[in-house]
Amino acid sequence: MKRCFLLLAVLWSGQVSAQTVFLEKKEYTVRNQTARVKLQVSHSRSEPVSLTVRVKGPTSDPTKAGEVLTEGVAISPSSFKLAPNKMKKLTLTLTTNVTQKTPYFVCALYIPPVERKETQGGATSGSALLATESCSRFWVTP
Amino acid sequence: MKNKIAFAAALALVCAPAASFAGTSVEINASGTASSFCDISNTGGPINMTISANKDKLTGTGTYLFSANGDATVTLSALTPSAPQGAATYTPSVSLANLVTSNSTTQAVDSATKSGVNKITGAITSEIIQNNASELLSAGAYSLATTATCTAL
Repeated sequence: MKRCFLLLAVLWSGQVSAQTVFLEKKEYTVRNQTARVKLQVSHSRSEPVSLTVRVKGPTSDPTKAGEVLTEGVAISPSSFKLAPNKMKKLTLTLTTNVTQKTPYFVCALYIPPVERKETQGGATSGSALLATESCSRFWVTP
Repeated sequence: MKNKIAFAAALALVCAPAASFAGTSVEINASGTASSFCDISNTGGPINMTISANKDKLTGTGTYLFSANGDATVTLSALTPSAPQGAATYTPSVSLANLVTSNSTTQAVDSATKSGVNKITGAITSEIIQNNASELLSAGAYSLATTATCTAL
């Protein structure tokens, strides 16, 4: 049944082209200073795209993500090319010594290819690059 | 006597399944959990900025689509502009209409929390606006980069 809901969620998200993170649970317990988080990532762009998955730490505000964690995090795999409307299963191992229920954020980042534009002479022109990222908050409890 | 007991046992075995078919009822239990999610996309593709008639800014527009099935926020990371060498001072800005606007090159800017289910389409406006006494934008190529992040809470 859970798969059905995930499928529905994917179909709904299929109406947009952004990448989406689906967490198996919202709360994880630390065992031996390690939390194992299962998640799935999908997108519905028209062609395969490269996505990067990363984890952000807590801040004083539980609704805001902090810095990207570079230590104590293992994501398998963390960067990959994914075909449209396919679910990529990932495992995130988070090493932490939290002493209270703490929010973390797992994110899927898409950076669009940069369009190279030739500018002639002193022409004034510009381009804006908007990368998009989808995050889901999960809680880690001691 | 032994034969009678054996016969009765065999009869019970044979008849038992038939009895279970006598009244048919099926109980169906279904349950599931919908993961909370959000996503935001630039549906308009690359954004090219062109100079205004007043020669004081570069402007480009695009479209975004934000959807979420629960409480979520949208954040624009600190803007990363680039300009021609020696360019007169300017201010960059990016706006996702009805969600969040930023002109900060040092800090991320958050939207208010969007509650419940939401599917919002809006305009993306990116600008490089002069910020100098001559009120003119220096000639050359500019670029502006930021990341729009949605967070499902």
